[in-house]
This record gives sequence, C-alpha cells and structure tokens, in this order.
Amino acid sequence: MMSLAPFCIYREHTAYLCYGYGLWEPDPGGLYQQVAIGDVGFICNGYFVRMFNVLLEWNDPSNCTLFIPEPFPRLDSGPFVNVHRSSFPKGDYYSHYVTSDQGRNDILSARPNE
Amino acid sequence: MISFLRDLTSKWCDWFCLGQSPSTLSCRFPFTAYSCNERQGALLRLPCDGLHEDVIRTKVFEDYIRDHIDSWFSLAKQHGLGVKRMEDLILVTGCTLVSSWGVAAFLDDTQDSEVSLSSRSFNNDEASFEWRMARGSVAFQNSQRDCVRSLAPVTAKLTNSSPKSKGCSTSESMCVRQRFSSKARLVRVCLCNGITLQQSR
Repeated sequence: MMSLAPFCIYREHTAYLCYGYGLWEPDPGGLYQQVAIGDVGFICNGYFVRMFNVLLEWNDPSNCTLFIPEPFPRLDSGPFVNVHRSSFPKGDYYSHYVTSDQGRNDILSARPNE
Repeated sequence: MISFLRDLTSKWCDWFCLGQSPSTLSCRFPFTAYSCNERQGALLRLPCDGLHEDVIRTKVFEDYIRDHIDSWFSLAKQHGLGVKRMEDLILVTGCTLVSSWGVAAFLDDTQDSEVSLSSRSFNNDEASFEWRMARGSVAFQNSQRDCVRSLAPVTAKLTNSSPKSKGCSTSESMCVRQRFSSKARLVRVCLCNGITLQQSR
C-alpha cells in the first residue's frame, strides 16, 4: 500500500529513533534562518514552518516574517542554563524494519513500540 | 572477516582510481545497501557529526504552550497557514543541526525494496551522495554539496537555488553557526524535538 507521502513515512518511522520529528526537507527554504529552541510552528510537507520564536520579543524582526504576531510575553526559562548541547554522531540512522549490509557503522536502529 | 574484506575492497578501489581522471564517488567509496522487506521504513545518513540541543527543564515550556496555544491556533487560521488541528502546532524544545544529510523513505509495504547509498565527506563538512535504486519503491534525497560553503565572516543568511537529487528545483536557505568546532558551518536541522498541546497535558 503506497498511500502515504514520503515525508509522512519518513517522519513516522524516524519518530521511533526518539530524537524528535524527522524532517524530510531539513532546509528552511528561505522561510527563516534555522530551527531554534523556542520556535513555534508546524510541519508541512516534511519541512518546518516557523511562525515565531517565543524566547525573543514578540516584535523581533525575525518574528515578523510570516505575519505580525499579536503581542505575547517572552518565555522566560529562568536565570539558569537550560539547554544541553552535545555532538550528534555521524552515521546511519534507520528504523527497525530497514536492514543494512554494513551494520558496523550504524548508530542506532529501533523498532516501533520500543 | 567481513570487516577485513570491506576494508580491502575500499583500499582496492582507492588503488584502482590512482592515476585516473577525476574519480567517481562510487569508485572510492563503497555503497551500502539498505533493504526493507514488505514494510515501510526510513533512513537518515549523516556523513558528518552534527550538533544536538535539548532543553533540560521542559515544564516551563509545557506551561507556556498550554497558556498560549489558543491564540497561536487562531493566528495560524487567521493567516491561512493551513494548520488544521491545534495539536499540529509545535513548540521546539530541541533540535539536531547538521551540515549535510541524506534521507530515504521505503514506501511500499507490499514488496521488498532496496536502495544503495555512497557518501563522501570533506574537510569542511560538505558531503557528496550517490544513490542506486535496486528494487521496489524508495524515495530519497540529499543535501547538495555545492550549497555548503565555508563562510567568513558570519553572514546572516544565504539563499541559493539548486537542483535536488530527485530532479525538482528548490530555493534553499542556509545559515551560519560558529559555535560548533569553532568553525563556520552551514547548518540544517534534521531532527526537530518539540512539544505539542497533546504532550503538554
């Protein structure tokens, strides 16, 4: 059965890897610079549409590209560091039902419901 | 033994290419085959390390989305963004940024599908990709090497039109990040972590 678009299948099956929503089209496509923590948006045809970022002031220029939002209070995540940053290892990431003839370089595979 | 044979094959390819006109990707870098038997599936190839960011304390984000989701949904509808359900709105709490990527979706769960991929990474985190379709139905695409450039000084935004591997044209936007490896990098997000209204309840 081939009813779902590639980006739907990709998103659904990368979700099992537990790293979040897999974007079929990772490039912002001229809509914004890059996805960042605090962005509010939605996924459309495999790419992320950013509406605005709530860690910035409501009228920050980058928040006024799709439309001018109504004034909102900036999200204050507190006085302490709240973001963990780490290197994300290169390699192959694939869902459980995909098999590779070169398993040694594969970082992770997962099955649904795992 | 398998590992040894693979290394040997790789070296043989390198030797074979010595002295020849610009070698092809497939000659120097062996293909890896991926198959999916009567199932759907997904593949992500990252030839270079990426940067992962995650919020540690998410409660403040969960509370915030609950307080504001109604107005966000109204805004999206008002501006005709095509958001059908409140649950489709995402507040990003983490993301994985990469400079190059290859993705594939195994589409058909009624037949066996197989695709092979070879990639080569370069010093500046660029990468080249080559796909070979073996059987079944697989959709795939990848970042374009000529879209990734080392930049100095930092530029806020670059736009570039380039063909995609599947043959459709698209306008790409890229940006620069200097924090990682103290080197300017063009980044794309390949995995986006966030909370929705559903998850905040």
